[in-house]
Amino acid sequence: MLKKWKNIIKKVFAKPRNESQAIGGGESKEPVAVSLESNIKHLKAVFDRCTDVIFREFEAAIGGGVKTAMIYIDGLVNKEMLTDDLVKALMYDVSGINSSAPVSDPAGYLSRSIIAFTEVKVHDNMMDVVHSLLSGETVLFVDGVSKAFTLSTQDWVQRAVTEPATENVVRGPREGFTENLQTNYTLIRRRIKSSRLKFETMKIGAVTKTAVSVGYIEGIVNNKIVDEVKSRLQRIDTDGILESGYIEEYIEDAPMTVFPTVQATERPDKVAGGLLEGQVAILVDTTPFVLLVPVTFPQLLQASEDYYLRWPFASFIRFIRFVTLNIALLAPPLYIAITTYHQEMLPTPLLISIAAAREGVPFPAFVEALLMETTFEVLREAGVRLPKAVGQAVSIVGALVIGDAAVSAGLVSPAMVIVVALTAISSFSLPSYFGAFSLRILRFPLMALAAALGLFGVMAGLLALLIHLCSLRSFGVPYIAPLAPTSWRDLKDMFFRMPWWSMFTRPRMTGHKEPARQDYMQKPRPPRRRPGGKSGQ
Amino acid sequence: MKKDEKVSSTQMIFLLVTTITVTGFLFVPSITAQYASRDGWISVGLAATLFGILVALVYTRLGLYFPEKSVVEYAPEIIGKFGGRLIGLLYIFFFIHINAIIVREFGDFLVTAFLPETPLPVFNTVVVLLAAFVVSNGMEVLCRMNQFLFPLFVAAFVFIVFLLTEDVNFGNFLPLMENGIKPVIRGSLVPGAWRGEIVLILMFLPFMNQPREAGKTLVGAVLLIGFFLTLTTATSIAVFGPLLTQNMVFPILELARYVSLGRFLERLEAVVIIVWVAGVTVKVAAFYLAAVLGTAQWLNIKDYRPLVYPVGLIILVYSMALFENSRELVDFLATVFVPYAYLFELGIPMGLLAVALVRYRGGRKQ
Repeated sequence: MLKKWKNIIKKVFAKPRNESQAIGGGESKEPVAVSLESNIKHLKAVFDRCTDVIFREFEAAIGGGVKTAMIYIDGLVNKEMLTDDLVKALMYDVSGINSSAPVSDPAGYLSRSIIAFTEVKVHDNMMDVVHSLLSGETVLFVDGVSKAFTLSTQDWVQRAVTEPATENVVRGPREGFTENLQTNYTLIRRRIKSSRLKFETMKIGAVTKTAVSVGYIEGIVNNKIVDEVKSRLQRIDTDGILESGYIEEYIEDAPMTVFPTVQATERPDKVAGGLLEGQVAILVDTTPFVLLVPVTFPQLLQASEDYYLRWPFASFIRFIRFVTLNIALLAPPLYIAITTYHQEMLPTPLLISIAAAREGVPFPAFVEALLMETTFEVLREAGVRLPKAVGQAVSIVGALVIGDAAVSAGLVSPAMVIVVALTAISSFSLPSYFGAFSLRILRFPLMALAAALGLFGVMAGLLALLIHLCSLRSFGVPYIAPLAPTSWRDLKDMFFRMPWWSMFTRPRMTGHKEPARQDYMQKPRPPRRRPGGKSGQ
Repeated sequence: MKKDEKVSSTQMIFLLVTTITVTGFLFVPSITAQYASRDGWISVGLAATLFGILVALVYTRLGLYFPEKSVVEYAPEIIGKFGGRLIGLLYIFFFIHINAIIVREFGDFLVTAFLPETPLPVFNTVVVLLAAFVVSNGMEVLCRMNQFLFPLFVAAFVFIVFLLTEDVNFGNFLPLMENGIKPVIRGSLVPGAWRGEIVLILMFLPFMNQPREAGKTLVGAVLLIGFFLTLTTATSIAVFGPLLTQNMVFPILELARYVSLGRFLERLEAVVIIVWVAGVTVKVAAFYLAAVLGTAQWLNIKDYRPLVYPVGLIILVYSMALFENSRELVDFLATVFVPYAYLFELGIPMGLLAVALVRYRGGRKQ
């Protein structure tokens, strides 16, 4: 019944997409003409009013002079390469052989002997020509040949590989992804030198034709997940993809939740690690953020550095992270609940000092907390948006407003300032910015529950949160996977990070196809007799 | 019906243990001590566990005739359409009624012990809403949620008992069985009825990914429940003595209050309350799911989801209308509850099993 209605609604509201509007002419499968004139005319019509498309006609020194034309988009191609290797080669007859003799197969002769490019493609319909032109290739037409040559001359201004802005490490590689898909392939391929690492590319976006690539390691990955990722990607029908965030919203399992069920990262080492554990990476051209699926909530609490530091340090940091997770979510609600309803839970001296500090505050604890948390969120947002030079001013104003003036004006109590500061610092210490985001949002409803029902309200809110987390899945994997359903061997990489030589298996949920990561019994131990040692003592 | 939802034996054990222990450890010590006095722990530990194993075997034998079906579905096949459907209806009522009692226990406890000025309907509404959220997400989510919480429950329990070791006085257990075995048996009836709440398996068996392991699962659950309840009862008798225990409404809460470590670790009842709120949500959700599933099967509805909120409303209103006050609730649990629960936990399943044994002697035709 419902489906029937859905179909009717679809039929009424969905407008048939005008395919020709998608890219503006050139979509027709018109063949490349024999005459140079008509080809140029066609392209000029397609690229009407596109000032950045350059048409260059000249006479090539083959077969006694043939009219040729090359077309490219200014800024997308390497001009030096064009001049040196194409224009000069054709006009000056550098090869110097048979320049005046007629050529029987000009097309083959050109691509075999003259055009000194690594990648030359031959097309015979105009649509392909337009597409390759738009992706930065140079098109070469030769009069009398009903074929078009496209040369891979792509070269545009791009950012160098720099340290990623979101996930910093003390120890570990400092490379981050860039906006260029090819560079990103390289960054991953350099880490995984295996022919089993596959990248499957597709174009998404009717107008933008953004290249989206699905990367995985064959044999480790669960093929069902790869197929599911691909089918979800193919279902996307939109005009443009400008960032992987678009893709994320189209393919996530639970679109209405605050928790990310797709992980976005800027770190190639993290992606490589994920691929080795059977995750699937989705690379999108023009953004440095690569998506990893499936992802579980505990994974959002893990930084790639956890695997580079020695395991006792990493385990300690993990422990701290669970503490900060709880503080970031619970400190303000607990403060509200305890000061409003459960004063008896505090030791008396502490209770007295809090009560004394709150004496002049005109608001109830909830309003006080709401005020401060909102102020903090505003400051944080301002800090991100403002030009860097003004950022300093924001932090000074923020520190003064939050820290000092508000307290001395009697608007908030010093205890509240401590709580808010602690919350802020804690939420910054979580490794995933996007995971921490959900906590930022959830803090507010929990605060309201605490104000309404005290600790019972907080508890009820947390239970609802737990139920929600249990009901989430990311590409078929339960969202709090190693915890529930419990997988004991995966708990090695959960609260603690066990030593590398003890983690024999890949995570059960994603890597069960080839579970063995390494051999057993690799615990290092010194040999019985010290090599090179003179005597035992 | 979402029969494709499957849970493991471990998850089922955890679910049953949480479901039964969470209310049991609050009410059982005091009620048992009223009959068995200082021998309450024997009642809880031995007699009730034996009873638990008995019913576990009955349920397993009965359930395995129809591993893909629940009692509401197979009762008509065993004893005929009319009687079978009547039994189905009775079970649905039983689950709703028990659930209303649990919700009421929950509200009463929180009002008595924690937030005396908040009206009872608030707590009842919140817990029914949370449970409705779980139920509409299905069995797998219920089990996963419980699997997450279970270690926390055990940790909290062990923590409290461990901190009380210095206050334990084993002299309170002596003399053993002063008045013979009779009071011990009488005292075991209530904890036995509690143990019998594993009757839920009659509804949940089709969810198990290995139904053949049902017997082991149930016995394991009964033994674990026995361990926790016996430890609670024994601790409260050993710390407070039999007289105080039987006069307290919630001995475990008093135990938690009694804990004092240094001068900073005091008033641990908050821990009990946190465990209680989370555990009762699981318990209410389990019975709620059983009721909703049964209703859907009884009415031949494929998807039980539309029934979640109507049934929830019945449970909520019923929970408020059942008793006048907390004392009446405890009285009900100590007297009426016993024959009532035994009818559903032992009587009907035994009857069904007897008929099934005779009818399917030569093996059931598939």
